[in-house]
Amino acid sequence: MLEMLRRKGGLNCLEVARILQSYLDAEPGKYSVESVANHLQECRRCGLEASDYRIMKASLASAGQSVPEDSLQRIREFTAKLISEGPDDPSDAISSES
Amino acid sequence: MAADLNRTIAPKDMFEELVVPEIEVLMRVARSLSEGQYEADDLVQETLLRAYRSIGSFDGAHVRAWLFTIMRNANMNRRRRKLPSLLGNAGLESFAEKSKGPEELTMDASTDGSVLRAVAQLSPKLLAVITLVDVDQLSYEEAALILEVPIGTVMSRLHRSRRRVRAMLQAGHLEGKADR
Ligand SMILES: [Zn+2]
Repeated sequence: MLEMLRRKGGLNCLEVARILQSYLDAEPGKYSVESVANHLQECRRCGLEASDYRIMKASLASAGQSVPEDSLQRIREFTAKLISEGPDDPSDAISSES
Repeated sequence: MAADLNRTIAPKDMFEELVVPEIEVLMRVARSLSEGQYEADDLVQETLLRAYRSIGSFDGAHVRAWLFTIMRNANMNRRRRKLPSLLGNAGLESFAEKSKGPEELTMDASTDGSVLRAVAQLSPKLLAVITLVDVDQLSYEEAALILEVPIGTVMSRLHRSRRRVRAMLQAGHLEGKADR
């Protein structure tokens, strides 16, 4: 279906709106990456919208990049202890198995 | 290869091989599910503990999904159905102060942390999805697993949250509530 539309001259804005998020997130879906890309290049409105979302994504991604050093340290120590000594007291650890 | 691992390697080594490399991802996700750093660290520790106990019966495939399931259960046990508060707004605000955006901006937004401030104003459900996908970089499938909702729900919430954040940024009103 999308394939047909593409051959006839590409996706329209409504169709792009429906798949834009998946496209930006590189999630699999029933769309052709190429036809979305083409539309975003040709359509100013959708192109701007996509670029706004990209900025939002980049901004949020940079916020998530690091975990606090002291926490990481603590978790690593905990893990090392877990590996070398095993879980210390099975009864006091929250309801066993996953 | 994963199945091989299970047969030939001791649980302890399997834990080191498979789980330890995922620790930072677990920490980021835990932070999104917790009120503060201590609670997050606690959740990670509990997840690791549970993972350690059950790694003997784990087939070695899809380790991240397996860990997320454990974390989700651990988290649920602890806070019975309370919605993830996602860093609390305070958490995002403090990110907002530090964060710098990319160079090429069309919106006046990401250099000054206003994206994060806008996101922090979303309702808990929307905040949860956008944080897991955009901050923690999970796939839709992974986010769906953590939140226990269908993948289609992740997609529609994500779309809604992004539209809302974009609208807030365009309107430039980041003080008011924009929950619905
Ligand atoms: Zn368009």
